[in-house]
Amino acid sequence: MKKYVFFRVLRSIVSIFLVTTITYILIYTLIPKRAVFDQDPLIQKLASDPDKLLDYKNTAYHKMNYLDYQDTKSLVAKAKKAAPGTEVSGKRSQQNFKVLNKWAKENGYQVKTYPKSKRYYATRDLPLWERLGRFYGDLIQVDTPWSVHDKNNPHLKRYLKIKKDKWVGWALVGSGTKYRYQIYFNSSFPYIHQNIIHFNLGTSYPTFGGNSVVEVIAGRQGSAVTEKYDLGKGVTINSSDNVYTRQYQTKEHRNGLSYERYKDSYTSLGKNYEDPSMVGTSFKAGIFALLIAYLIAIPMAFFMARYKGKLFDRIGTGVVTVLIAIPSLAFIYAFRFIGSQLFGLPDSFPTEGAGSFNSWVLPTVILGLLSVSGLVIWFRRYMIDQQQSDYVKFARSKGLTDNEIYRKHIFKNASIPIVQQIPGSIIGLISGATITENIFAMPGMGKMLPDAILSHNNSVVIGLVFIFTVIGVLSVLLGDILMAIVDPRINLASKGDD
Amino acid sequence: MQAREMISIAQQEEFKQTEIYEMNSVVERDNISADDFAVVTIDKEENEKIGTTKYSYWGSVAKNFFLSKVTIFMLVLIVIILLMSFIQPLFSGYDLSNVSKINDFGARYNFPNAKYWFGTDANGNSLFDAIWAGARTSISIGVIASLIIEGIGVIVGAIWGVSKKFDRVMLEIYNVISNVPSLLIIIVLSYAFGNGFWNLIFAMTCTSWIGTAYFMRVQVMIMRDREYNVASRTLGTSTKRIVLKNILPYLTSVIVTDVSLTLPSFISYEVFLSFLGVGLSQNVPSLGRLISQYSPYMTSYPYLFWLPVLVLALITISLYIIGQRLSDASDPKTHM
Repeated sequence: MKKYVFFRVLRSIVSIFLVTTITYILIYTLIPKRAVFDQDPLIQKLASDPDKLLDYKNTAYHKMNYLDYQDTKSLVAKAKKAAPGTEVSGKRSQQNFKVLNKWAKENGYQVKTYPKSKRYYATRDLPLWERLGRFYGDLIQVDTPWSVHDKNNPHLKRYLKIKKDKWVGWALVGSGTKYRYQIYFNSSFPYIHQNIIHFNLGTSYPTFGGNSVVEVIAGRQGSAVTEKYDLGKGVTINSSDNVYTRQYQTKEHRNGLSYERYKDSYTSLGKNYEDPSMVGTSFKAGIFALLIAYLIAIPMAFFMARYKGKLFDRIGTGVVTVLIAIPSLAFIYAFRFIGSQLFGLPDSFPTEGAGSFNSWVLPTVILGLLSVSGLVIWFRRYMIDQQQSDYVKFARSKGLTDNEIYRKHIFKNASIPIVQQIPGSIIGLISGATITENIFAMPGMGKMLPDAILSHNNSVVIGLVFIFTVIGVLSVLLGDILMAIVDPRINLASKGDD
Repeated sequence: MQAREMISIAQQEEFKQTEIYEMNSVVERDNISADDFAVVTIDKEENEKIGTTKYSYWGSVAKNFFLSKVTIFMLVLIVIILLMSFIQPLFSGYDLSNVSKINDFGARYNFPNAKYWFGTDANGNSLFDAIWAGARTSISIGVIASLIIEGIGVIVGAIWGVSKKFDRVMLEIYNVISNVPSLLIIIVLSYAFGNGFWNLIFAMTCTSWIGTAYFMRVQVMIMRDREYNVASRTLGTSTKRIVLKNILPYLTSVIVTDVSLTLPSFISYEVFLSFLGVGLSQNVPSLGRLISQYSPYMTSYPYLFWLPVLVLALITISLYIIGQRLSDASDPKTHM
């Protein structure tokens, strides 16, 4: 069993890796790179200044890992560093070109000139494998006390200490690390948080420009909220700063106000926002939708199988048939219409926002209802198959009542596929969420995927594919292991195919 | 107990019969001559005939299929929808980008009436024309994509079910693909391949066939080890012939069931992708595009939104019910 689980986990990782890599290759080879500027309003504004436009485009490509870009200033600096003592500037001249080109050739760059000012810059196209390497190389980032390299701050202390911090209470505090608080506790789920390991899925562009993909998907949204910090000795501060995210900042970039407040170099920090993140939104709706789906489907299938061929079964089969056949789009719109007209619930998520319970009701219930029909058909079929089995006949011949047989024998055996279906339902929920979140304009991952595609935000698309694949693979894995726990007869290690 | 009673009754009947024969033989014995007999030769052809009515598989399927009134109604409905969506656009000349009537206020937002059966939209275009042009695209994509994946799926599944080596490779591929939501794959692929009718079909079928192939593999494996196939193999039938002649004909009803499920689901995918604006080019009308275009009018001009939704629902529901009925009818067990 242990060996099996180990190999399953290994396979799951390979599977995640394969899907992400294929997606990465497909997207970065098939979609022309200029497509990222299709929706960008800045392109129009910069059109009058071709130099700035070129610089803007190259910077964007650089951020997205299409190419390496050195503008005039950094190109000259690089060339000077490589050949100390030579006089070189970005201006167009035979002499400058010679020096710059020498450096460029050594490093695989190509020297080009800006159309208007004719100053030099250099680019290097990154081959696909190198981009993939960078993507996976930067994927997991571990924070250590030796993470920060700041030439202007040679006396930076490097340590990890458990101490009571005046901002966050007891925490594992680091210095020389990228993040100030390595492990900390607070009242939000899951109560223990860490800043040691971070995922880096690239930089989002053109929407949410400049933010990291992880920040976009997993960072909280909405408007900032202020919180009260009690610093002891009667001093309280109202601030919207999220002190848990304090990161190292060099002196040049330092925000004076923050430095006044925190008295150390960890002054780069995020804000507290009121609404849950995209992952959080989808996760919350998904969990409750799963519960709703099972709470409706299991009793319904139970009674349909119990009274097979009777009126309830026939009506139920009819309803389920229509629900399966109808496209989810029509289904969602119909239920949204009913919900908003009859119950007065908001038909769009942003109307009342994430803070209001009402805005969650319709999307979550509909998301749950979407998977009910599939579950009902499956459970009903399985329970009816169980009715024919020998142990049921035996129980009946022993004189057990139908109620006892159904509750104590058939239902227990039918719960095996209930467990087995959970991963399938989770995968189904992801698809369902894409549709529901779009129709309700709910700020979750499902809505982000088409949004990112339409705005050609390739890095976010890949980030979402990665997250969805991880969820899918993990749920299948957990489903199999759960099934082996529920039913001791199932032996995962042996091949049950033939 | 019952069986034993049956036997004793049969024995009694037999006993009575022999008594009657004996009585006859006593009376007529002396009157028989050689002239009473004629020589009968054995007719080989007549010998081969079986005294029951002839069984035709497809005839029985048809007979069974038309038993249900709901199915006949659905069949008529889908035939009408198909005729409308493939013939009507030829005459209407509907063009999604036609805005010639945009300044004609009389032509805009007409509720359904005698001239415009389904009313008109903001551009003064007839919704009736739009729906059938859109339905044609949606149905075409659904049908073509289903045919492709069923074709590939059945062929690959048949090989997959009998070949151990192939099985090992394909299972790994299947495990990778089945873990990812199919909608996600289709969205990402149609994004990568760009917009267009055939691009969308390619994106839809690119990985979906493996699900059908896996389903067929399991079915083939179940049939492969049945007694009649074991017997057939012992008699020296080749694997190829077993698959083609012994197994696949048995799976007709399973294949029909699968088609009846995939066809509506592909139409749903197409509708949803067009709704998002991914997949088809801007100038191709489709039901999904109409629904997304008219969703703001849900309360102000409800006919604009609900009529395309209704037509879409009618298409998928009738296709699904016909498919289910056909798969029931094509199962030989129901032909008794």
